[in-house]
Amino acid sequence: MFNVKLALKYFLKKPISWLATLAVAISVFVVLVVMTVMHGLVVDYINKTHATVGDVIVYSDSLVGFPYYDRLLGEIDKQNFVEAASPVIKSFAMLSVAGGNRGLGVNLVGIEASSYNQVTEFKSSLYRKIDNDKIFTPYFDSKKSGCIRGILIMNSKNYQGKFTHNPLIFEKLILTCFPLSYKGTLLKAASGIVDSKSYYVANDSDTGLASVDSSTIYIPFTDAQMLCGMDSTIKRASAIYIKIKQGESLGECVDKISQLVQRMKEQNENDKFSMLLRNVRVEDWKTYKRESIAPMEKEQAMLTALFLLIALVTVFVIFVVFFMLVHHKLRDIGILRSVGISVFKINGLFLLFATMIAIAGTTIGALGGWFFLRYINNLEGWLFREFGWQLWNRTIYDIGEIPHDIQTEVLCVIIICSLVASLLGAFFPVFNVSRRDPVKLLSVDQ
Amino acid sequence: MSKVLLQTKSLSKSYKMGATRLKVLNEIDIAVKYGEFVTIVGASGSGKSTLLHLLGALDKPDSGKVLFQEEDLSKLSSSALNRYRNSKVGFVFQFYHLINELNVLENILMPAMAYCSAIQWLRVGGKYKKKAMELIEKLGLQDRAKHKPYQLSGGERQRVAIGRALINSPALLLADEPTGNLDWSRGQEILSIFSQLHQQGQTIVMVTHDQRVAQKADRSIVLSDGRITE
Ligand SMILES: Nc1ncnc2c1ncn2[C@@H]1O[C@H](COP(=O)(O)OP(=O)(O)OP(=O)(O)O)[C@@H](O)[C@H]1O
Ligand SMILES: [Mg+2]
Repeated sequence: MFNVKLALKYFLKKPISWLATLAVAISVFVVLVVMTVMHGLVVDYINKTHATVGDVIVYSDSLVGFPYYDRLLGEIDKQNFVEAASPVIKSFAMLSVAGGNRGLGVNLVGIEASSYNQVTEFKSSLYRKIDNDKIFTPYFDSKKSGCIRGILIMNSKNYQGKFTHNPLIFEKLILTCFPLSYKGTLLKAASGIVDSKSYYVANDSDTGLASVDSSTIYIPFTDAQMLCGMDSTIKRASAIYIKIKQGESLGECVDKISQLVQRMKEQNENDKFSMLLRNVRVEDWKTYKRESIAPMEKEQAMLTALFLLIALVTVFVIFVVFFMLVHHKLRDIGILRSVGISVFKINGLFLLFATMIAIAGTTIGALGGWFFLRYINNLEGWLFREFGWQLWNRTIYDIGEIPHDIQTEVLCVIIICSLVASLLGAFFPVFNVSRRDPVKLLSVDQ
Repeated sequence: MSKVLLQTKSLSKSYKMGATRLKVLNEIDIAVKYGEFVTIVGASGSGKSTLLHLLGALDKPDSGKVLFQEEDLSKLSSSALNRYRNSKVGFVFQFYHLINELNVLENILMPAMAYCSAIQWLRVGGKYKKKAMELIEKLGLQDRAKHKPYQLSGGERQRVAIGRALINSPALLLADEPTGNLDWSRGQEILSIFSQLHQQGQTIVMVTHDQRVAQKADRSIVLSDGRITE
């Protein structure tokens, strides 16, 4: 009763407690905002990467590809943990624009539209929304062959992350490939295999990953197979992307598919294509994309470490604030002790006081963070309009808007840490001081 | 011959000053009887405050003991010691030592309130409030009940401190130069309060170095060099 009353008075009447509240609030605010944004960026990048390849990938890192993929695909499709699987051709091509520049090197990806769309989120990356079966149909002439172009090829983004011009879907592109025999030698064009083909741009793909969107051309699977020579002697593919059913363990699925691949390798051990099978691997999406994910994850680990440091500093600041607060009140503690109030009650009084500051500070900080994150994109836009300054330059960084969804777990951890830090920060100095003889406390000049 | 309320036995206290020890109190033996008004006088630095702090259990002696109603303070548990400070003695400091966040009434009520839970306070709060208002009236602070310490003069603050010391009706009132910081007429006001209390039977031990004050008391104890010279 008395405790509550005095704690409340301390809390409401003292500028130093407002300062302490502010210190707690700022700490909570900063940690919440930066954690949310950074976490959002990393998670967004990893999700986008995942969205381009499915869950499990069977692939050969040879440009020649691997045979019997259709049989393997049949086996994989029969597995009850598999949602969908899609064969993919991956190679390189030279891109020329009819009447324009020549010889742009691109990644060529051959896909089977319907299964590919089941495995990946490719369809939602398309700039012009369209049905599966018309995915490669040029907009203005359905009889011509069409391709899908990474949206950053021949296009760029403005500061808002919008494309500088509408994609030119009437453009005609010429793709030139280097078809390879199953032995890995170049096939001659004279042998009757087409190595060059024209396409009209049917659509643009905006996966949100700059490295993909600036270098990839998608064409129908069979076209790619032909252009790359993968239909010569024996039909081949570069990879099979697999989506597993929800709730299945990724690791177990990789193991099971590995067994299928192993069996296929054994069955064909003695035929002349067996060496092509030797390069075939099975990996989950994280391993398959580790080259692009690992740096991001490294960055996240580093950020987490940095944040531990910031959190440590924050806890220290809170500790110091409470230490000063308690020492600011030494005389009062002496007075309370001299009229016979127990150490226990005095500790309780200050812990209550600290709790008030902690709760007020944390609430203000969290609300402030929430409000700031809610308007962070407006703020960034305003800064750009007024001062031409952009936090993440959208012509370089591949983010639509700054992430601003507060993670509940992150919020809870921050709140708990802030409360604990405040209470510990108050407890140690109070505990240390309140046991002294009253005379020692009263003799301080305050 | 009335009974002894408070007694010290070979009470000694020293402070460490670097390598040497400064002996402030040297085997002090005093006795205070019920209803007595005793002053402790002596030169500055003679150990008056130190002695009073030991009597009020605000500090611990190096050796010797303080007996209050024949109980040795050093043998009390910490909660009994708290109770002693809270309701057996009332302490008036030279520098008032009020809590700035609380107003006059709250400062006076503080020792009573701190010993009650919220529920107990509902029961006894009214009684204490009435008593506090009586004290406020007696101390001439009627118009000041809602004021904060910083809005009061030194004499008024000292009166609040006296009110706080009296709220739990202690058997013994200890005062350390209660007029030390006040001008003569303010000091007189405070002293007349003490005289009145004494007349009503309050046992008082007061530190002072004003000889005129000492004359009003039943008896003076003179301290010099850590000893009683009487
Ligand atoms: N905490 C301490 N540490 C060291 N020495 C102290 C301490 N407290 C008091 N002293 C010393 O003890 C001696 C007695 O101090 P005390 O305060 O009891 O004197 P006093 O008689 O009350 O003086 P005054 O009339 O000036 O108030 C002084 O010499 C003082 O310097
Ligand atoms: Mg003194």
